Amino acid sequence: MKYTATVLLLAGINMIAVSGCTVLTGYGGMFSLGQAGFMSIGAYFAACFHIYGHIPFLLAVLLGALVSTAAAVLIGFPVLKNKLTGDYFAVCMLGFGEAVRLISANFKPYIKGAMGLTGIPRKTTLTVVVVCTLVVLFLIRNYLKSHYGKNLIAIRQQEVAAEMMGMNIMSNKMWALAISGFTCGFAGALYAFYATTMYPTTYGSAKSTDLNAAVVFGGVNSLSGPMMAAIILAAMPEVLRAFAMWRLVIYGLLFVVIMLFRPEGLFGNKEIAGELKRLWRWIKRVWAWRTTGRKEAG
Amino acid sequence: METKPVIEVRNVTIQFGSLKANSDVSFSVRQGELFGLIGPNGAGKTTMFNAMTGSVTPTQGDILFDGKSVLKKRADEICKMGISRTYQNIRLFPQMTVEENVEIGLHAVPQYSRLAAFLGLPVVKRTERETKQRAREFLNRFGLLDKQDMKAGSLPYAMQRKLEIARALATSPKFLLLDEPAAGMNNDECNELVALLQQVHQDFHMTTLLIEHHMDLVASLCDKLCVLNLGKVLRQGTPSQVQKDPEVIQAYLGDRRRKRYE
Amino acid sequence: MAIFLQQAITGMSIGGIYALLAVGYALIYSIFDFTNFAFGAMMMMGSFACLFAVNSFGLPIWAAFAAAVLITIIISLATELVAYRPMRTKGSSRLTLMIAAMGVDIFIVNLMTLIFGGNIKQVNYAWPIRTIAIGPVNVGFVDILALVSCLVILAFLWLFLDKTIYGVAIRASALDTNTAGLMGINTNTISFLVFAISGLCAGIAGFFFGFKYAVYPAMGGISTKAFIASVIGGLGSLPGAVIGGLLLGVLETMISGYVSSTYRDLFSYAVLIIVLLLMPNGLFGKNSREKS
Repeated sequence: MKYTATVLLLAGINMIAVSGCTVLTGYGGMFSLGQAGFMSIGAYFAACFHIYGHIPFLLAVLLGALVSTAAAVLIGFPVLKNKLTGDYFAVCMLGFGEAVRLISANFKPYIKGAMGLTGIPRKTTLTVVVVCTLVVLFLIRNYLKSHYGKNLIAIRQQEVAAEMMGMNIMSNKMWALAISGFTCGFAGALYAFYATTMYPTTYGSAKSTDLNAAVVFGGVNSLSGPMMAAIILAAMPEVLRAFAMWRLVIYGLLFVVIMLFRPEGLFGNKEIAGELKRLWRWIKRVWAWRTTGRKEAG
Repeated sequence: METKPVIEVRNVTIQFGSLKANSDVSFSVRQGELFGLIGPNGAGKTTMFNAMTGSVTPTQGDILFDGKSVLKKRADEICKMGISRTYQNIRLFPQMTVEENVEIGLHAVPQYSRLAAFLGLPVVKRTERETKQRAREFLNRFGLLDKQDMKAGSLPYAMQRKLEIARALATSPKFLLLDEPAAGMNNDECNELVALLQQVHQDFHMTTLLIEHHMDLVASLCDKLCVLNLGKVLRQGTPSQVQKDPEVIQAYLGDRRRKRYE
Repeated sequence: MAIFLQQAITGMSIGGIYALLAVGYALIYSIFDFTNFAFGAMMMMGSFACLFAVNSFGLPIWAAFAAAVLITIIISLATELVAYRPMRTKGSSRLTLMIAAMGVDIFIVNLMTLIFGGNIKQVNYAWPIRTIAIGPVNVGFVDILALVSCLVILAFLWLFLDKTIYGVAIRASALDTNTAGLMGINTNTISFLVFAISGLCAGIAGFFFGFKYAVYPAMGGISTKAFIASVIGGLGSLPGAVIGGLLLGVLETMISGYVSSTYRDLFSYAVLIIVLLLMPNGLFGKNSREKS
C-alpha cells in the first residue's frame, strides 16, 4: 500500500512538471534542454524560504515556483528577443541548466554548495500532491483549450503568418516559457520536501531528458498524451529496476524511432476525452449491428 | 471630391548591401480603391510588401497607413493598425482544419484575459461559440463550408488561396494586401478569383493593394496601377493608360497576354 | 609576461579543438540548416577508440589516431544514413530533426556510460617529449601538437572547399541547397561528404581532447562550447567558426587563469547570452531569421 502511494506521489509530481513542458514544447514547439534548472531553482528557494525564512510549507513552495518563473522570464528575454531558431533556444536553455548546477554547487551560504541541503522536513504527502496535481492540471487544461493554446499551435506551425494576423509572438512565447518555469519549479519544490535532501545534481540533464521524453512520447497538441506518458515514465523505474538503469538509453533510441515513424507522438493531436467518445460511439455501432444482425437471422 | 490617400509610400528606397531592391518608390492608394502593383519578376514588388508589413525596414523613405508610419513596427502591431495580408507561397496553418484557420484570424488578438483562460470562466466558452459561428459565416461566403473539417494543407491549391484570403479578412482589416493571389492558377480559376475579389471589394468596401503578374486579372480588376521595374516606378495610372505606355510594353516584352488588349 | 604567453598558447590549443568542432557544426548547419546535437557523442567515441587502441591493444600512436578518426567517421555516416537522411527525404520539420539528433546523443552517451562507467580514464601513452621551450615559456608538447594539427587540418579543409570540385559543390549547396540540386549536384553525395568531413573533425578533436584532459562518456558536453564558438563566429560560417573557436579558447583560458577556473564555463555561457543580445548573427554569420 505504501509502495503504491509512493508511485502515485512521484507520478503526480512528474505530471505537474510535464504539464508546463507540454505548453512549452508540445504546443509552443520550443524544445528546452534545461528544464531541470527550473526544478532546481524552485526546490532550493522553497527549501530556504521554509528553513531559514520560516515561511509555511505550501507558501514556500509557491514562492519557490515564482522565483523559477522569474528566472524563466529573465533567461527567455534575450534568447527569444531576436527570433532566432530553435537550436539557439535549446542550447541556451542547456547553458542555463548548467549554470544553475555550477552556481548551486559553489554557493556555500544557505544551500551548502556541493554538500547539499539536508534536513528538509518531509511535508509532501500524497494528499498534497493529488490536490496540487488536480489544481495545476485544471489551470493548464483550461489555458490550452482557450484561444491562447490554439494561438501557440499556430505560432509553431507558421510563425510569420501568425504574427501578421495580430499575435504578439514574444509575449506568447514568454508566457509559455514562464508557465513551464512555474510548473517545473513547483514540482521540484514539492519533491524536495519529500526527498528531504537537495543536491546540485538532483536535477541534472537526465531530468531534462525525462521531462522531454514524456512530451515527445505523449505527443504534440495534446495534454492527455504527455500526462499518461508522465505517469508511466514515473512509475516504470520504480517497478522495474532494470528499466531505471536503462531508461535513458531507451529514451534516446525511442526519440529517433518516434521521429522517424510517428513524429507527432504516440498520442499526438488526441485527448482522452475525445478518444473515449470515439470508443463509445464505436461500441454503440458494433452493438447496434450485432443486435439487428440477430433480429434478421432469427 | 478627392478621397484622402489611406496608404502612402513616400520615396522608399530599400537596399540590401549593394543590391537596391527598391529605389525612390512613391505611390498612394485612396480609400476604397483596388490598386495594383505590377511589374516583371525581380521588380521589387514583394520587397515593397514586406516593407509595408514590417519584415523589412526601408533604408530611406516612409510608409504611412491612415497617416501613421509603419516603420520600426512589429508585424502584429501593423496588423492592429488594420492591415492584413496574404503571401506568395501560401502560409496557411497546414495541419489545422479549414475552420480553425479562419478562427485563428478571429482570435489572434486575444479576446479575453489570460486569467479568464486559466480559470475557464464562462467568457471563454461564449467567445468560442461566437468565433465558431463567425468562422462558419466566412467559410460560407467563400464557398468553403463543406470543407470545414479538412486539413488546410490537403486542399487543392486554388482553394488554399481562397482560404488564405478568407482568413485575412477574418482579422477585420481596413486594408488588404494580396501577394500574387493568382499565382499558379489556370484561366478558369483566375476568373473565379477575379469575381471573388470584386465581390469582396464590394461587400466590405475594402481598400485593396494587389501584387500581380497576370495582366488580364489586373486590368479587369484594378482601378489604378503602379508599374515597377528594376526597383523603380515606371508608370502610374489607370489600367488602360498604363497598358498603352511604350516603356511598360518594353519592360514586359515577351508577355503574350498583353496582346489581348491592343 | 611569460605566464601570459603560456596561457595564450594553452588557450589557442583548446581553441584549436573548439575551432575544429565548430567547423564540424558549421559545415552541417550551413547546408542542412541543422545543428547536429549528436556531434559531441561522436567526438567521445573517437576518444574511446583511441583509448582502447593504446590501452587495450597497445597500438602505436598513429594507429590510435587513425582508429579515432575512422570510428568517428563511421558513426557520423551511420547516423546520417539511418536517421537524418530518411527524415529529410520525408520532409520532417527542423524540430523533428533536432529531437532525433538529441536522441542519438542521449542513446550513445548513456549506452557508453552503462557499459564503461562514468569515471574518467587516461590514455596510457607517454609522449616522448613532454614540454617544449619557446623563449621564456615551457609549453606542453601535446598543446602545441594539438594546435598545429588543428590548423593544418583546417588549412587542408579550406583548400579542399576552395579548390576541389567537391569542395565547390559543397559550398554551392551551402549557399542554396535547392538550386545546387537543380544544377545537377547530387545532394546524397554532398551529405555523405559533409558528414564524413564533420566526423573527421570530431575524431581529431576527440583524439587531442582525450590526451589534454581525459576520456569519459560525458566528455561530449564540450560540444556546447563549440556551439558557442560557432555562434560567436556566426552560425553557418566556416571562417567564423575557426575564429570563434580560437577566440573562445583563449578567452576561457585567460579567465580561468586570471579570475577563477570554477566559473570558466559560466563565463562561456555569459558570452553566449551577450552575443545573442548584441550581435545575434555573430561576426560573419548568415541571417538566421526567416524570410517572408
